Amino acid sequence: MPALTAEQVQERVIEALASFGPEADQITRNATFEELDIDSLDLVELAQIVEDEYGIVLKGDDMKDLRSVGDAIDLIVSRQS
Amino acid sequence: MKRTVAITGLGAVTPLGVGARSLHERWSAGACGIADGAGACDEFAPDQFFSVKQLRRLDRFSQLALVAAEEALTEAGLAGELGYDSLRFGCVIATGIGGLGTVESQHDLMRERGTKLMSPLGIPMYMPNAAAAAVSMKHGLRGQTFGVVSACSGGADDPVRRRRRGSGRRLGGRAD
Repeated sequence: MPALTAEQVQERVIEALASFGPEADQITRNATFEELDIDSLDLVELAQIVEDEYGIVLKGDDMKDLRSVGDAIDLIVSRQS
Repeated sequence: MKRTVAITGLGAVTPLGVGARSLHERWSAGACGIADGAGACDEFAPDQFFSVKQLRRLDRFSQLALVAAEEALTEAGLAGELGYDSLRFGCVIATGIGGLGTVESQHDLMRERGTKLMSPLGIPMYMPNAAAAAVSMKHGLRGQTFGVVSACSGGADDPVRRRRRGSGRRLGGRAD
């Protein structure tokens, strides 16, 4: 798979998070998961999507310190092999 | 010792509409909720009652139970503020199976895509006590809370247990 750009990852992350409940226009890089009412179960589902579509495995320890949408995007981009 | 049970509120979501009054009036008028061999609650529109996030986390049987419970608690004057010791306010909701729709969708997903994509929400959505859990959490009912699984008689089993176990308040019902 060709390297993903941060823009591609951001677009997919926002799409996934929007399907969990928050309005898409609220989901920005700086938005925190607390503000968006995204909890740990939602993040597990996000990790499942990332693994399924990108082959990037994110474990609980990887996710536990994520606070914002930008944190998640940066983590995914940095984990590309 | 003989005990007395007082029913102070009713709620229903049924094939005869949303609301206990709708059920009573239409049933009394001879209406039939069965169509094409199924008793679906076609007049129930989940998005009128729940957010996207809530809908993703509630099997339909829990959605039905939550709406009926809200009606019953409102009629009893207990919605929003219990005005009662919540530790003595139980919640028992019977079911025949539980979240069958979730079981089916997760089973399909597992067969088609494997186990890795199965939802972490699966078990909390399809377990037979999911409706009781959802109602108790929403309304802060912290007394004895569980699901009764005894087929079609489930809804009638709770008042029997209630009489044997002493005083207190209980929200009882059934959902499938």
